[in-house]
Parts: sequence; structure tokens; C-alpha cells
Amino acid sequence: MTARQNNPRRFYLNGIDWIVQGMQYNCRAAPGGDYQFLIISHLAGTPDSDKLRGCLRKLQEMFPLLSGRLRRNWFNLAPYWQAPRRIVSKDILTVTDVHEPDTEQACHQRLTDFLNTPFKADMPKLAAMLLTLPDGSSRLALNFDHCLFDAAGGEQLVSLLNDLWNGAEPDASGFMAQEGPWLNEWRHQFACGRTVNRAMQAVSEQCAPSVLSRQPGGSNRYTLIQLDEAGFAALEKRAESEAGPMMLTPYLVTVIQEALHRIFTNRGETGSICVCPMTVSLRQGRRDELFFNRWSLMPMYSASASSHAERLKQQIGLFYNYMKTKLPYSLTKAGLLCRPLPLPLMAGFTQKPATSGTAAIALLSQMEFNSDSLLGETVKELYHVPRIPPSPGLGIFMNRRGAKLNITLSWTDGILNDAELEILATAIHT
Amino acid sequence: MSKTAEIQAFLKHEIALILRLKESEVNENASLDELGINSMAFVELLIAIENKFGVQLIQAGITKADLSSLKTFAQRIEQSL
Repeated sequence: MTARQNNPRRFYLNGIDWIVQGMQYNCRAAPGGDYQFLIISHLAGTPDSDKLRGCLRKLQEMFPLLSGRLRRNWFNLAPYWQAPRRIVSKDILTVTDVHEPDTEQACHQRLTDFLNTPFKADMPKLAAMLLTLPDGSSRLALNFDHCLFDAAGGEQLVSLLNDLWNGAEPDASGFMAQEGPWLNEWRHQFACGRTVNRAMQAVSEQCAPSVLSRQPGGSNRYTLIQLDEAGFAALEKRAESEAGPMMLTPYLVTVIQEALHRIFTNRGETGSICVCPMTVSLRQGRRDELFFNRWSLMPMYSASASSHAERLKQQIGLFYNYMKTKLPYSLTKAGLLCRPLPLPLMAGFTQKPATSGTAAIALLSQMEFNSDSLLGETVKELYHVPRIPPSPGLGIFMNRRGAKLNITLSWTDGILNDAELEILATAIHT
Repeated sequence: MSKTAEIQAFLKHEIALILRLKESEVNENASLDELGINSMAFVELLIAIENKFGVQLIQAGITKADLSSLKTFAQRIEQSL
């Protein structure tokens, strides 16, 4: 498209970006942070904080987008992200020494607070926290605004930060894909909208989905479940024997849905359905996919009455049919049609139970950052912690790292009790 | 060209497209798992097979052994035709 050549500081939002803006609006309307996520790495040593600060300043200078803001084209109403003309880099690193006797608990609390800290209007949409521990190790958390980054994009930035630390001088322009306002292919966009409507109608023809969150939102909490090599191999074996080879994703969705059904049954809700919007990556594997959202959703659902075998069969069938009808792709195109909507209206749409669902599920199977070393230190662990919008209020994020699997449960404080969390954790473990 | 070889060539082409590799980079002797195929990529491949050969292989009893190389997978597809 031509608009991009006209204004190099203007980055038009795609359909998913606009849905994300709606979620961000909902997060902002509730207490707590923005629609943001952390990538946390456990490092064997402690990197030099001054050097790290310098690398983070360099990132801001390379990518003025980080200090940009949402705008709308007054003529065609297409929303875009506007990079500032010039930027003054800010100090976005907080360094904290952890002295408490229970180091793990203290780190967890500080990282939870970091996850719940919204970005200030005059600060970049990226923040970093370095926790130094008494044993010489450290935790580095990078806080990303979901409006600018998706999970894989966040990892790409971690990789780039590592490159800068190691002395590389990459060309910033190669990382920023610019698109036009997509004011063409209207018939195709409407055809895609029809595909999405049919899928949503199939969900809404079931009974109303159960929802965990009836609160206006609040602080986000998280817990990490780690499957080591043996644990993950056992999970894959179970998935293979019950669902067939290469069916880990629908198997995990089934297991999570069964745990959710148990939670609702314990609460006295029966005869309901669970809807779990599952994100799938639409990345092309290009270098210039650093910014913005390149994923889509599939609304996986099941009724409480189903048996394990029936539910598994249904989830595999849904997964196949959604892919066959190109639902993930269609949603990105149909989302373009929603861009003229005022943001509060869009936000209302993303908050409805039928669209936001019971719990969000994401599986990142391909890591963008694979190195065993980050900022000169050995990486002991690396995982994602997303902040979940008030509705659905629960998210399950899984990322493979080598032969291991990290699972993060992230939820709005108060919507699940400890026993219910245990049900979810146990379901994934066993 | 035998039917198995034809299907195998098709699989190689499709896997290269899905994984965004060159065809020469797809090792025909590697299992689909070793090639880096995940659930989503596998379903994409099954849909391509259905579109080309008219055979639906989802939940059709495919085993890990069937996916141990492109040749074994091609043979399994041929059986279903």
C-alpha cells in the first residue's frame, strides 16, 4: 500500500491489533496494569546494569515506535501507531537487590507488582527490571505493551537486546514492517467476516459459556508450572496415546477444559459450556515481524456433559475445521472491518462472554530466543507471564523451551481460590 | 514415478511451504517431529493432503510409526486412497 511511503512514522494497525486495543481499553478501565506481558529470565550471574541501561537506551533510539501513541486517520478512520519525530531516550531499567530470606517469594512479589504497573504516558512501552539475588544470580524481566508486541515479538526483542549487548549494530529499519491502511479487498474482508460470523454463531448456539470473572478486574497474579524434560516427555506420550501423534495442542486444550468443567461443577454450575479462545501464531518467520500482533484466535469449546474421549475427539475436530475454513486468517481480515468502531464499543465486544470466553489459552511452540546465554550470563529459565484482561480473567500460557515446557497460569486476583488453582495445575501435571 | 514417490514429493513440497524452508532443506528420512512440525503445522499438512488426494486423515488412526519418515507417511496415505 502507498500510505506507508507517505509517512514513515505511521504504522497502521491490523485487525488483531485493533482487538488488542479493545482489550487494552478494558484493562485500563479496571484497576491494575495495562494489557501487557513479562518475559522473565533467570540468569546464573548478574549482568552489568550500566551496560544494560545503555542497551535499553539504544533500543529506544533505534525504535521511536516504543515512544509512540495511538492515532486515527481523520479521513478514512483507520487507526495507526504514530512514532514521534524525535525521541529522548529514558531510563527504563529498575535495579533492585533482593535481601529477604525467602528469595523466591520476594522475587515473585516484585515481579507481580511489575506486571501490574501500567506504562506511564510519557514513558516508552517497554520497561525492564533487574533483581539481584544474594547468591550472585539475577532475574531479568522485560515488560512489554501488548499493543506493540506479541509474545514471539517480545522474544525477538530479547534476542535483539542480546545482540546489542554482544556489540552488534543491527539496522533498525529491517525490523519494522509498515503496512498500508488496508482500504482495499472489501469483498474479501466481508467474506472473511462471514466465516467468522458462522464460527461465532456455532459457539453461541450452545448454551451461554461459564465465566470465572464477574468482577470489574483488579491486580493480576500468576504461578509457574514447569515440566522438565521427563515431565514433558510423559505429557507428550499421554497426548500421543490418547489423541494420536502431533496432537499435543488439542490434547492440552481438552485437559484444561476438563479442569475448568470440574471447577464449575464444584461451584454448582452444571450443563454449561467452556469456551477457550486459543491463540495461534500467524508469523511468517520474517525479521521485520518484531512489532505488532501476528496471531489469531480459535474459539475452542466443550460441554460439561461430554466424556474425555468425546471431548478430545471434538477438540481435534474443531481444530481441524477451524484450520480448514481458515478461521484464524479470516479473523485478522474481519478485524479490519471493526477498525472504524469507537474504541469503547470495540472494548465492549471483546468483553462479552461469547467472545472473551472462559479462559484464554496460548501455546508458543517455536521460541524466537533460543540461546542459552543472555547478556553474557547463562539462562537457567525463561518464561512468559501475560496480564489477562478483566474478561476472561484467566489465561494459560505455555511455552516450549528445548525439551521442557513452562506453563504460566495468570488470573485476576480473587476469581479463583487455591483449591481451584490446584485443580488446574494437577490436570496439566497428571 | 510410483504413487508413493509422487505422494512423497508432494509431502516434501508442502512441508517446505509450511515450515518456510527450501525443499532441499527438508530431510526425507527425518520424522515429522524432527522436522519441527507441531500440531498446527500437522493439521495444515493434513488439509493439504485432503485437498490434493481427497482423503481425510484426521482421527484416522495415524501412528507415530507412520510419521517416522516422509516415505512411511506417503505409504500410509497411499493405503488410504
